[in-house]
This record gives sequence, C-alpha cells and structure tokens, in this order.
Amino acid sequence: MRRVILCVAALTMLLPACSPIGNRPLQVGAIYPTGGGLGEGGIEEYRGVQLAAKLANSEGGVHGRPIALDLQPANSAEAAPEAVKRLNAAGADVILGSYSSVISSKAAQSAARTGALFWETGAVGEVGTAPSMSDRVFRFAPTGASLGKSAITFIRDHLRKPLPESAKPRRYTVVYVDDVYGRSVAEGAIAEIRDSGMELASRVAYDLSHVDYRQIAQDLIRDRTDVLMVVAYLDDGVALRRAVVEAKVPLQATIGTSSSYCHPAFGETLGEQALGVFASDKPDADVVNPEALSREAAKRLVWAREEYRSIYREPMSAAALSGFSGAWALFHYVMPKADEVSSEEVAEAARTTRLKLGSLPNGSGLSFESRKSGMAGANQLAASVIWEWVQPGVRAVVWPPTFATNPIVHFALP
Amino acid sequence: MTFRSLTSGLIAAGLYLTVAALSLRSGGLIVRPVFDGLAPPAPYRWVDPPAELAEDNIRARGGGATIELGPAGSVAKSITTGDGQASVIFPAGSIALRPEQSTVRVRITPKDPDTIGLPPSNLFFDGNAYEVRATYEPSGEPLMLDPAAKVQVVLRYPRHATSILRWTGSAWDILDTTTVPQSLQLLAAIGDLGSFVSAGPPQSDATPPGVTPWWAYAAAGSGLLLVTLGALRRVKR
Repeated sequence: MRRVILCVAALTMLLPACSPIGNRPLQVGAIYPTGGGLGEGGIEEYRGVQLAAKLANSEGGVHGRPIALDLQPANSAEAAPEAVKRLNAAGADVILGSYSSVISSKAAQSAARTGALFWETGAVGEVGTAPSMSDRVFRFAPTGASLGKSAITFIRDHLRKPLPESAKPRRYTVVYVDDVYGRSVAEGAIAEIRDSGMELASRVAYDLSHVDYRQIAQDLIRDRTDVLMVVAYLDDGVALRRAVVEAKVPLQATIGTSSSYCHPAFGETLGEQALGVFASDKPDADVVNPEALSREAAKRLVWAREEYRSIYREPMSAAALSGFSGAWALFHYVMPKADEVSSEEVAEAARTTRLKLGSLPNGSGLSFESRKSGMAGANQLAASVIWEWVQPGVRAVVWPPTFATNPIVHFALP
Repeated sequence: MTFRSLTSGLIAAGLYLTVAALSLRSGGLIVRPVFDGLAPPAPYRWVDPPAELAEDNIRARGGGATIELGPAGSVAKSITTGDGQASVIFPAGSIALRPEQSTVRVRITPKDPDTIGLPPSNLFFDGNAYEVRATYEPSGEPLMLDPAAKVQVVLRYPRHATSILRWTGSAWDILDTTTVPQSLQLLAAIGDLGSFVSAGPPQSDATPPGVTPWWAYAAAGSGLLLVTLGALRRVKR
C-alpha cells in the first residue's frame, strides 16, 4: 500500500510537468485594428502574421515552443496603450503590430515604456526617437521617409532623366495629410527633392476634417507645379485627384503612396482619371516574382499564397504579405537566435541579424539601423515598388525591374 | 447572413443616411460626414485625457447653433462640436413652437464625465461627456423635448464604447444605442436634453497561454505532502 501511495504521490508531483517549459506555448502579442476604417487592412495584415506563426509552428516553433498569438484589437490610436497594457499583464515580451501609422506610434511608445519589444510589420510612419524606443522598436516595413524618397528618386531617374533639358520637370509640390503617416512620407520626399538639387515649389499639409481640394488644385497652378507628390488616404486622395483633373493642372507627373494611390479602389473609382498616376508602396504577393527571391523565400512565398487563397478565397494583399514576411522574419530568423525569448535578447538578435534583399517572401532583406541612427530600428532593406495605373482600373508594378510586371507607360496626364 | 444581422445592418444604414443627409442639409459642416472609411479616425480630443495620451492631446471643442422656428415648425438641423466628436440632430418639426419665440439656441459643451457622476457598474467612460442645453430665444426659457420627436445624439468614441449614457441628476441611464464601429460612433434617440457620454464594458485581460494552472500547483503540493508524511512515518519506525 505504501508503495502505491508513493507512486501516486510521485505521479501527482509530475503533473505540472504536463505543460513543460520546452513545449509550453510561446506567447507573442499582436495589436492590429479589426474594425473601424482601418479594420479591413488590419485584419489582412494579421492574417499574414497568423500564417507565419502556423508555418513556424509546423517546423517546430521557436526553441521547440509553439508560437501562440494573442491578438488585442486596437481600432484607434487611443486604444493602443490599453492593448499594450493587457498584453503586458499577460506576460507578452514581444508584440507585433499594427498596420496603421497612428496606431503604431502609440503602441510603440507604450510598449517601450513597459520594456516590451515592438515589431512593426506594416505601418510606415515614424514612431518617435526616445532612447527606449530606439532599443526595442523595430520596423520591418519600409519607413514613410523611404517611400517618399523612392517616389522622388523614381521620378528623377526614370521619368525626368530621359527627357531633353528643356522638357524636364523642375518644380515639385508635396501635398500631404497632416498626421504621422503623411508627415513621415512627405519629409522623405522633400529631403530627396532638396538633395537632388530640384526645386520645391511648395509643401501643403492638410487636415482631413478641413480640406478644400479645389483650392489646393488652384494653388498648384499658381505655384507652377510640374510634379505632384501626394500622401493621402483613399477618400482624400481620390477627391484631390478629381480636383486636379477638373482644374486642368498642367502636371508632367504625379505620384502618391500606399494608403490611396495604389489601392485598387483608387483606380476603380477614378477610371481614366487615374491613368499614368504612379504610387510608391509595398508589393502584393501576386506581383512578387519568386525567381527574384532566394530559394528559401520563394518556397515560403508560394506556400503562403496558396495557403492564403485556400483559407480566405482571395489573393494575398500587400498588407497580408507584409504581415507574413515581417512575422516570418521575426519567428524564423530573429527569435531562434535569442538564447531566451525576452525583449532584450530578441532585440539584440534583431540588431545582429542580416539578410540580403530577396531573402524574405516579399523581397525584403533585414538590416536594422543602429541605435545611434536617427532612424534606429528601421529596416534598411525593406522592399518597395512603384506602381502605375496602366489601364482603367488596372495597375502594374513598373519598378524595380526585379518586381516589374509591366514597362513604364508614358501617358499625357488628363 | 441571419435575418437579425440583416435587420441590424439595414437599421444602421438607414441611420447613417439620415445622419449624413441631415448633416449635409444643415450646411456649414466643417467635419467629414460620417462613415468615410479607409482613413484612420482623427485623434480623439479629451477634456481630461488618460496619462498615456496627455502629451499630444488637443482640448475638445464645443459647438452651438440656432434653429429657426417658422410657421411650419422648426427646421431640420444637425449641430456638431467644432471637432466633430458630438452632434445632436433635430428632425424637422421636432421642437414645439412657443408664442413670440423665433429661434432655439443650442449649445454643446464637452466635460470630464468623472466630474458628473460615477459610471454604472461594469461600464467605464470612453470619452468626454457632452452637456447639451437649449433655450428659446428671446425668452431664454429652457427647451423641453417631446420624447416622440426622435431627436438623436451622435457621439464619437475613442476606444470601444457600446452605449450612450444620460445623466439623470443622480445616476447615468443607459440609452438604447446603435453602434457604428466603422466610424467609431454611437447613436441614440433621446427623450430629453442633458449630459451624455459614451461608455463600454471593461476589456478583459489577456490570459497567458501555457501558464501552469492552479490545480497543478495544488496537486504538486499534495504529492509533496504525501511523500513527506510517508517519509516521516518510515523514520518513526
């Protein structure tokens, strides 16, 4: 009898080990909008993160621990600090987010305060430069400044350069929504205009709730703008384009960015009025040519495309691909390098991970700016592309050549 | 799609169109009409912001306007605060005529809800309170609403509210509320003016997966106790 009791006692003591540390799920926090005006894109990006976790778990997780995502929705910037608090209380040391620049900024600040690591998979806006943030905030997606710079570089090198001197566009105007996203992209564009020795005709910041598009169009004529760079959301981007066409602003080129000019609804709404309009953004899964990627990245991309289509019955959008690639970089390349999954160790692993361009499924590489840099934590090898509306309702990637699905088409802008 | 969800959707859509139409008809609208998606909501403006949002806060704005009273009754009017966070919609004919009174002056003032009264249990305030006052002009007599007039309050909320509350003078009443998550707004028909605030249930804390449950510790403790007792008995023998 005594032996039985001892055996039972010993087995009972082993019960807690039924969830041993080795196989205990590794909790990773996630903050994305799932409702409101940002919900659609936020859900798509989070779906990409879920696929990355699924893939990582199918290959053994991180240090043998399966990744368990804990989503705390935040549909506005105001909801982000609370979401971080909840994840912090639940013990999440690493948090992914957030699709939107306004949410990203607050989530990153709050995470930095609690000592958690914040890994941005999609938003492009700047998140601040506090020392704590430079340590623990990493932005996988291209920064707004880099998208702005790419837009101007493209115009300068691929539209302006081939033209005879007399026909070269000279005067650039940057019109942008006055928030963290708009300012970030606009600053990158303006810096590139100045660094290239070109002329900034004017910069126009507008408040979404008080904007007069017709007046902006008249100001563009007054300022003799040749090239218009627009950083807008969808509705304001469409309204501004309509106002520009209506006022017959004599532009030689116009280019926008991610949240409007390359959105399918932009071309569908504007039809012919969008022809010849360019956009600087992240690539969609369907335009990334697997042959331009490393073998490993190509394999992951093909898997993700098929998996996404089979689960959600639609192609993988730019947001979903960015979420997948960003989370995959973290789960597959960064976290396994950390001896333990603490924010400090993962941050150190992130700083020392180097992946060449094309190593990740969206064509990106990985190399974060150093802590001393003004852009600390920004991925220097984030992939971005230039889209063009080449037919009514049809857009194509026209730059860089590794991603291009169509040559640049030179339209006379309406 | 269930009949219930279809009905809810149609009601929400109907309310949207009503609000949008009234917003536009009222003229002088400087804020965006509701429900234009794909842009982030404007930063919420607080009277008394939470500490983590205090740094960038711009103080909430009030608003006001007058409503003309003609022989056919009052005109339809939507009155909105300068930052678009609160509106009161008066349908045509919703205000009772009074002899020698030509207009009604309406004023919306943002307030800190904590200075008015505690929220009902299991709810938290999500945003500012808005005090809505209206007086007949030129007499200055307070306007009493006809509950059948279908005047509506629309409040933008910052995080995750589900109800509009009205202060009765001693407690907050929960109004029958329609939520419009796309634009982070709530709508409620009101029977009287006063102070209103958006509120929601507390968000549940995330539970860390993989944390050893309490029963495992209890079992381990019992096991340890049994082993110790067994060992003690052996020593005694």
